Amino acid sequence: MGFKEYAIKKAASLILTVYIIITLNFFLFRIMPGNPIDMVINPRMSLEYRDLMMKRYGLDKPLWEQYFFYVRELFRGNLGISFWKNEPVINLIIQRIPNTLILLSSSFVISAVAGVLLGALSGWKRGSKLDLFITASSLTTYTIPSFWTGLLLLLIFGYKLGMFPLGGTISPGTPPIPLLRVKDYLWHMVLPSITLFFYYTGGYVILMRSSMLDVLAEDFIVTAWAKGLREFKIMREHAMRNALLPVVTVIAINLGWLLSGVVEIEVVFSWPGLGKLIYDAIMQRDYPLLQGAFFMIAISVVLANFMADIVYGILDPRIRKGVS
Amino acid sequence: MTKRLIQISSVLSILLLSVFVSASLAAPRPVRQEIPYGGAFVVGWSTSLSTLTMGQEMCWSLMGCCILSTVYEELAFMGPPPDYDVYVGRLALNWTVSEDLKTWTFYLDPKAKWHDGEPVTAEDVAFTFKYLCNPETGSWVWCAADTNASKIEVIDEHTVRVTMYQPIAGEVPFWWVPILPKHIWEPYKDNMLEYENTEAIGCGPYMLDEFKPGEYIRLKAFEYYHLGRPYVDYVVLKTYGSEDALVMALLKGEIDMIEPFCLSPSGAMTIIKSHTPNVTVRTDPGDMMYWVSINLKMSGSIGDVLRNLEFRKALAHAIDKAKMCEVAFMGFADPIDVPVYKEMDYYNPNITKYAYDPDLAKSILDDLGYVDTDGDGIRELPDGTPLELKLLIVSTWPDHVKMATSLKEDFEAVGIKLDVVPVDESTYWEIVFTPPEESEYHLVLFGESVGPVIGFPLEAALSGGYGNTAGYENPEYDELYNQFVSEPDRNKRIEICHKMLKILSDDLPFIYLVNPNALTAYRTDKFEGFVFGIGGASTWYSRWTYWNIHLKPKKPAAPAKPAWMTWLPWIIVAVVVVAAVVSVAYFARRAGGGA
Repeated sequence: MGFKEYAIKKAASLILTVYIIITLNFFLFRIMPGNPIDMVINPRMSLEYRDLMMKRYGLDKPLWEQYFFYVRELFRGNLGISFWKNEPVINLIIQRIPNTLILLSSSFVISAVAGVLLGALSGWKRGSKLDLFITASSLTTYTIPSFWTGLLLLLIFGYKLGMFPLGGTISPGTPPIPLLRVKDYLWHMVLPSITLFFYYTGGYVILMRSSMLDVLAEDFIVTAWAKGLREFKIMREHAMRNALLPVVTVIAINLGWLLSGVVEIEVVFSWPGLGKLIYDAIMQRDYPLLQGAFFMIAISVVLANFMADIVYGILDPRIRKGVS
Repeated sequence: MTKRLIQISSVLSILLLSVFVSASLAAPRPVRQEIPYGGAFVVGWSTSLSTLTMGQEMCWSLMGCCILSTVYEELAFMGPPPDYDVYVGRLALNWTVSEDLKTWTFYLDPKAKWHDGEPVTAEDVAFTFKYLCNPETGSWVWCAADTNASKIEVIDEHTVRVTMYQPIAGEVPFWWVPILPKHIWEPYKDNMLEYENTEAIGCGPYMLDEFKPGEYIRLKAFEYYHLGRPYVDYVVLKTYGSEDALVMALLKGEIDMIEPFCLSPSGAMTIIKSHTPNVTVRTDPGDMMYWVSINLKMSGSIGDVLRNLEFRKALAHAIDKAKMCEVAFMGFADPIDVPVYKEMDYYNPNITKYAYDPDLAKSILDDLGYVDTDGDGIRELPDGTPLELKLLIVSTWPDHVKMATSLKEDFEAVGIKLDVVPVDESTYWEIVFTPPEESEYHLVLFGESVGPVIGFPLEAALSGGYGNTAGYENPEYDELYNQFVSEPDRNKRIEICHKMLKILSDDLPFIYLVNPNALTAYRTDKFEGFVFGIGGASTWYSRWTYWNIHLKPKKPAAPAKPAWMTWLPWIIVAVVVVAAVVSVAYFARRAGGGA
């Protein structure tokens, strides 16, 4: 099977997975205990008003009709109306996505690059003091809960030293001058970015190191040494490239989770992203908003997996050339 | 001799006068202290607003309520503490009411303007009542008995008359509804929720300056506010994701106050223990009142037990409310016997009270024949049924969980097993509004944000009333309640309320537990003018702090004087002293020479 066939097979699998997600997402909130509409209907309301609300939210229709309407509107980009905020869910999500993407993508890219390089170095220098230091640090930052790290940074640098703000993305009253706003935004982003960097990098270092150790035990590495290639060339072109494969898969999968935000970080730093929106929606039992957010996250994870499969196919010549 | 006396007296007079004049010149003149204008009053919140539409979030969230009373304005509002039931005119200067309490005529302030400069008229008021408070065009969140008008008339440019379906006593109809500008909202009159309202044009003391959804709202003083420009230039409502960040922000000085609802007992304790200068925590009676409803409609032998007044008395005596205040609220709560604040005239000091007395509780249970026959620590009924009660609570409400833990200990100490059943919030409400005869729960932990609105908790005991999870039915009480809500005379309402509370305390369908304190943490170094009362410095029925807050006047520095002015008094004194001494010496010598 060549790469083309491989890609088509993966695409078909993607479509089926998306359909299953849509269906599960619809039924999930309807099988939960309690009636979601009870969260928004005032118990003092008369039956007449209650019926009006049921009709407004389409809850008076049979289940199959609600499902059909839900799928149809989904393809039109309509994720429903938030119970609590009376706003289209898609608008609320779009409002928060930029904050999440900017925060996470910057931390993500830096931590992925740093994680791969440090992991490769650590694996290459296995047993050395450098390896010990990198491994110990990575294990520590990876196992410490990110919200704890965040709170500690907030306490020291935000409160005690007063170097950074204690929350938000912009200081109220910042003049509407783009340069000043960007500067203020970046200043607010420092502490949450550092927290995420610590958290993500640790994981990638450990994974990359482990993968490097596996690759370094392979015969082709011994052959490369025997051919007299320089150390740096062996590490970069032979060891790292092969060790990268499983790490790329994990990075791609994590990329899919970017949209979900990191709830605890966004809560600790009062960062108004998608994760915080989901947290608030859970507290308010805002089912349409939760449904819409879950759908977006699920789709992004599935798409990211698909991209990972394609990138894997490109990186691994066995797949690209159809070699079984 | 006389001549000499006159001479000496003259010298002394000149001397005294010069000292007086010098002192006057040297002392700084007193300066009259005025309330300064300026500053940005920043309040920290743990909740946020994502939208400015006039829907549920705006009406039901505390931040939304804050916007309704700062950017927008109501016709009237509850008076400042302690005169909550004396409504104060805001947009309406005054009003008249018919004898049957159904027809209200409001006279608007002709000076009132919208933030875009247009005048506020009776048309705006009529439009708001007609379209916003209509569930079909507006939102059902604005629909209640006191906003249900059968007729709305515009009498003239600044006079509007509403005729209510029901008599309204003890309050002003529509007092909590923000008046909207017709010239902006009219295109959306068929579906008011469609309008995003991004500019939020109101007629309140503050204008919307900047809105960052989920982050902060910045309000700017409205220069042409009809009741006088607010003292501060800006009010900022800033959202923090966690209480830790809120507390740090206050201690650091990034915010000036934490909205009382957003501060928990543990957060308050952290602030108190930090001993940070210029930061203080004040406690006031809180909004919430908690009680246990006893299901009086339950069937079976346990149902008979619950319907026995003596048994309910035993339950009441078994509960250690002081311990509950400590365990559940770290001491920041007060035990209550009825759902009315002791500070209010509506409170009846002569109600029947049930002091914590586990021995008395045990004695009552013994007398009823409920004894522990098998030695497992749990009493049984005469037919052998264990005395076990199910208590319904919400699993995600920490207050519920802690209070239930305390109740469980208390009941088991007297031999009653309490099975606490935590459910999610949605399920809780579904069960609560199931008719009690169909419910499997013997007890329900219930709470309501009552504030000084007396009618709310009293309605819970009304037959079929909101919150009547006990299924309590008492025709005498119902009759008194109907009299209460339609009685215009305040003193008579107080008298009726006293009777109602006495009935409740005698019949004991509910065991009233605690009233958690409102905790206001604020800084004292920059602003003053906080208005404290039930609910703390700010709550949904009291925004007086936002209307009154101002910078602390700075102590005036002594006016700078030129250097010569500083020395002049002393020069004058010196000259006068020297002149006096010379004069006395001269006259003395002359008198001695003449002798």
